[in-house]
Amino acid sequence: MAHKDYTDFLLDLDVDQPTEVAFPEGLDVGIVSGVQAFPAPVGTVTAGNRLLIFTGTTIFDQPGHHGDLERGIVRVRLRHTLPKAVTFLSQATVAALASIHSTDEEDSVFAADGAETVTDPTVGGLLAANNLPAGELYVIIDAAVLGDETHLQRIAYQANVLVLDTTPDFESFLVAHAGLFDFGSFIGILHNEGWDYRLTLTGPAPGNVGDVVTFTLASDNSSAIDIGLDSIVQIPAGATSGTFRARSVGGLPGAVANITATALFGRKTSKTASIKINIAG
Amino acid sequence: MAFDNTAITREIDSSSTLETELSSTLEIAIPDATVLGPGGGSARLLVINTGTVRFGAEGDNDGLEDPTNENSQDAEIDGVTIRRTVMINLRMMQYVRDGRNLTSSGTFVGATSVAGLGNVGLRSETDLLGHTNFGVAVDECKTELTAPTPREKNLWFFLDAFAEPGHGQGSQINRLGYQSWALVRSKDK
Repeated sequence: MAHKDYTDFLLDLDVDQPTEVAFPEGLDVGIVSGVQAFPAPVGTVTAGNRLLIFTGTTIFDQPGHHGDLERGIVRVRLRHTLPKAVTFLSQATVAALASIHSTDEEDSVFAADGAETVTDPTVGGLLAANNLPAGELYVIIDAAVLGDETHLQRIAYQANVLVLDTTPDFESFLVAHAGLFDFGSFIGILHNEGWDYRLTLTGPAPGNVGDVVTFTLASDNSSAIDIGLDSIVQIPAGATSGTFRARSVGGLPGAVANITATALFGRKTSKTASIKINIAG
Repeated sequence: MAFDNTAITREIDSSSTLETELSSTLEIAIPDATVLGPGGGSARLLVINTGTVRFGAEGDNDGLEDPTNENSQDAEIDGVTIRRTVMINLRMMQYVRDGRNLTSSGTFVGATSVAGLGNVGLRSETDLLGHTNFGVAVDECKTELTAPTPREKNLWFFLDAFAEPGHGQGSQINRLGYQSWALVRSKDK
């Protein structure tokens, strides 16, 4: 059985330590949907919407000894916390020997027997927690080494993790003439004329009652729109959109400003709308 | 020539971990993906397979065999048979879900594959010339939707593995790790 008989050593490695994991990398990829096909899921199947990919090479020095094969665990802390809105669904992980060494003529065994990715660092109580928190991702590698003067020194891994992220995305940023509700991605206004803007999410803003989510607004042309007091805006938790009256007004006639709004939560998506300052008459 | 050595066939099977262990398959619907290189081809379904493939242990290579592996000379990769082609049945045929059967309605577009050493025993012996030689290798691998004779058409992971001979049993490969990312074009994805 995986993990169970690997009790001779437990090596905790952290991707934040360059001496423990070489070139740790991670990707967070949006997908249409994803499910576990094998092992066959039991009960209701929940489809995921993001694929997390982690790669790296663990660095350690586990010596072998004459006589008995020593089996143990290499546990890699990926330093990826799953927020409340993100559910771990499934994983597919692979590990392979990367660096092995011996200075003795004795026969030797080196092993990366198998790997999986989990959110419970104890894997259901099989391993000591060693103060590692639950709710993060860990790669668990079954390893082994045998032989005098042998050293198991590196194991490479790739973890593919399927999650369901219910954090709403930033769907649109639209602008309108002040009070007219003619929202679009482009408007023309006059010098000193006001404007409104609307931020829309794909679902309710995350958080508890009283919480807010924050966006920043930036203008690429301060002579047309000096975003100034509008540079930070907030939407209360639970709301799916917010409509605001800009405190900045049209500036230099003839100029165009691209206003970019960026969500400071979730995937930090940005959206852009444009405002042209028309010449009166 | 690649993949034409004496074959070892392995299955991913949830009822037994004797042939593969910690195997996992994810089916990922994606907006689009294209095979790079000659032929090209695009698809919107990504099938990820990972796991550990296990081999035979006959009990004749003391200390270097994994005694928990299958008791089988035919499934061994040791210094006697030397070079083997391993075929892992990724069993796409069995994943008929939501009315979809990838192998009958889908088209295999391409795949990336990687295999690496998992559990290896290295026999250190000195030959008649005084040289001490040992070695094991995974030479090449690929994933294909095919029907290797006389096996069923399915998604198969092929690899060639090698264990260097010695005066006796030589070195031994007990396990290898594998991963394939396959693009499949199907009716609904």
